[in-house]
Amino acid sequence: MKERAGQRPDGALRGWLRGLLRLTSLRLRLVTVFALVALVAAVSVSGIAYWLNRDAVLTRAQNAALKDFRKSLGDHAGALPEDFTCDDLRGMAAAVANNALNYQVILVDDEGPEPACTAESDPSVFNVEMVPGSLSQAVRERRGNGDVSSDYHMYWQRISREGEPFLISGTEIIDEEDAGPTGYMLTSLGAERDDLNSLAWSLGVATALAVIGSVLLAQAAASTVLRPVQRLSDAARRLGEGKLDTRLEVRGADELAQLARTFNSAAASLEERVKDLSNREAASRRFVADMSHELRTPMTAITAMTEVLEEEVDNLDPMIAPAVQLVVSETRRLNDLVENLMEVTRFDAGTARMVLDDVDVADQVTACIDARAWLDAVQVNAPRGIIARLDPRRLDVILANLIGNALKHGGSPVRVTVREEQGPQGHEMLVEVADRGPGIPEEVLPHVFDRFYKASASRPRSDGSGLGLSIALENAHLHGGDITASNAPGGGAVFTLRLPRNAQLAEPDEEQEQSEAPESATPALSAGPAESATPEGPATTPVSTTSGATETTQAPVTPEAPAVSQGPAGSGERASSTGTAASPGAAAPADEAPVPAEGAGQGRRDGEPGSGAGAEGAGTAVPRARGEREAAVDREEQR
Amino acid sequence: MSRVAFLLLIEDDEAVRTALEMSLTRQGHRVVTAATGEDGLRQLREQRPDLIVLDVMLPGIDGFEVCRRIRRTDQLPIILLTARSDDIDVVVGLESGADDYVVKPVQGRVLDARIRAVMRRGERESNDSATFGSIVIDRAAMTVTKNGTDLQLTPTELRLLLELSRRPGQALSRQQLLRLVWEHDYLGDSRLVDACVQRLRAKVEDVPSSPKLIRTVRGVGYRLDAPS
Repeated sequence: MKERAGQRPDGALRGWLRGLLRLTSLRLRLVTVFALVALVAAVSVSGIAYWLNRDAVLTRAQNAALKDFRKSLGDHAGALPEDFTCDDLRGMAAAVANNALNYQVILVDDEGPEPACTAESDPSVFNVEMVPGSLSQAVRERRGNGDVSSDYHMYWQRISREGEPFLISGTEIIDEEDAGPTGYMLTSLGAERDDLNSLAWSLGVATALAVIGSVLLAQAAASTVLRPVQRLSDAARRLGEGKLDTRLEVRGADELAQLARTFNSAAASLEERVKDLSNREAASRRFVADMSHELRTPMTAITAMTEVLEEEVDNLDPMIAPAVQLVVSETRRLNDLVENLMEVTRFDAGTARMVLDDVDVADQVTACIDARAWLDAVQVNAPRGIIARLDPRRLDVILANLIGNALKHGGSPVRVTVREEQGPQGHEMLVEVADRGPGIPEEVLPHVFDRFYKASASRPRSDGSGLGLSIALENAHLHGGDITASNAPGGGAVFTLRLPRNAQLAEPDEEQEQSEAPESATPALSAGPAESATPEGPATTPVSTTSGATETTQAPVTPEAPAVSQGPAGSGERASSTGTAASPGAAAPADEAPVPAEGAGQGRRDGEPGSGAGAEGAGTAVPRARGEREAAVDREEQR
Repeated sequence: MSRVAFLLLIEDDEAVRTALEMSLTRQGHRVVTAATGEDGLRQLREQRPDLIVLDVMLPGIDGFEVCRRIRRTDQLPIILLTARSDDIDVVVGLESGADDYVVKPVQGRVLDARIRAVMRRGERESNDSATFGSIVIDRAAMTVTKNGTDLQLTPTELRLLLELSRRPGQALSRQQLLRLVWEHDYLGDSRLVDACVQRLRAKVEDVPSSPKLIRTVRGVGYRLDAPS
């Protein structure tokens, strides 16, 4: 109401309020509505109750006072002499004022011939100035028809003086004659006011309690409604995160249960659908992988033969030579394509592995350019000394593809810049490959890393396989890095390769751990025991792998091998020989456990007459050779 | 240098075998072939080739097993023909005792370069000798003895030891070793070095699991120390 009294800001405020109500949660809306309803109900009920009560209380108090005043006036007016004096009047005022209801009285006589007489029972509380003019006016205008009974006609009015409520009433005292003095009475309504105030307080408190109660009730109601909604929301989020086996527990038979049921069936069909799709995709990827694998054997033969042909091309019939050259160059292209396809299938299948090494990035960049005879066309700005831990072959693939692409589409000179940066995930290394070409059209930019993507249908197919940039990107991802393509402000395309300085192997696999083991050793200068732990992994693996030549059997062996040989590591030659001997045993099925022991004996026997290294070599060669022999025996027995 | 190498090519696919035989012969090598691992081992005994080019995927006993069996008696160089450089095949192959590997589809020139590099490893370079604890490296005779007993090292292992012993106490990176020993370019596979170091340690160290002679230098490579 107040806002409406104000000016235009009220519109803005209302809009904001509406927005708040719409934006915030269902819970808040429920609570607000409940509270408003409770407030309106409580306020109207207490308002009505208050007004009714007030009326009743005031009327009762007023009637009692008036009745008493009338009766008292009647009693005393009779005792007044015919020719009363002002003193008589004063006496009468005092007598009337002497009552149980504690009101003050004024008697005024201005009808008579004498000067007007005013009798006040207690002038300090009630004097004639306090009587409102309207009241004395009303009192003096007597009712026309002379109902000259003893009943006085009372006029009354409620006034407030200095914050205190009072009832003031007046009447004309009727003698046998017509004219008589007029009497006024003043009584305090303070007691009634206090009663009503405390009633109002109680009603206010009751209203507040009702509102609070309704808010709590609304909370509870909201919780019962919203908890299932929250569950549903959580489940939907999990579903969105890819956990397609998310299901809701269906409770009860209400609308929310129905919703949960719908959700479950939707999730089930989605899961089914996704599984179907991924199966199909896996099948097609497997097909490509198998196909490229199968292509490799004939490609090996063809490649070897085309080299022979190529060398002979000068001696061939000039009519035939171009044909041979075409075969040679197309074979090379086919080779690259098969190679790239295999690389891609490896990424798709998640079997791509990294062989990490610490390399100087500047050296790698220079070597990559040098190896492809691009030195004239490429400007390299690479400070030496940026050492990164990465797979050098994969970095080479990335660089060769980026630079080759820049040369092909952008033209020389291509600028390659290497620098370090502190990225969000620690130290990073940046390689920028910028060309001077026309740049990449905006609509093509998002697709440059797509497989077999051609910038335009009319563009002649280049000698690339169409997989180069895609493979480069996958290689960067494998390192935990990324490649972005953009256009430089001054024209030309810029490819930015971002690699962490210290690439981590994505998934720990045994192959990498083996080859990494020596590097994870503590510094070489440290004392024996510290160093001894690390190299033994690789040291034992040649032995352990002999027991299982396939990948599958190797996998469980490796984690065990160091554990088996850990104990005896530092404790001399004999102990280490048992350590290595234990490895094939660990790999072999349990029921073949005794085999290594037997094999060891046999191995020694065969070894003695032969000229093998194990038999002749004193010292450490013996346990190793023995281990190998055992493994061989082991395998032969399995066969 | 241009000594005719006598190769044994073990490869089951006839087309590949024929093509590689032709290509290698044209490069000036003498080539005998075998279609299976068993046949290859028999040929090895009968013909005593200088070097073996071995396919991994063979019917019967596979390339790894052939490799292991050869290593039991012979230290001649073995080059594996493998599917893919980052396959587990490479690791298993190197652990089985192979000296080097080439990836299919192999180019004749690459294979030839590798063959020549492997053959060069056995060549004598100087006439002195060096002693590291119980190990004596005789560079004139190209032999290594430990406590007076000859150690049977493959040419690659021997070359690795020679290169390390030429700079005692100095750490050599894997890339350096790849260049010195394997004559690989900058993309050489560091696993070759690691596998060879492990094999070498098994032969020369007293306790291969706690090497005192060939030390790992973290983040750099390897170093040969004379034990005090």
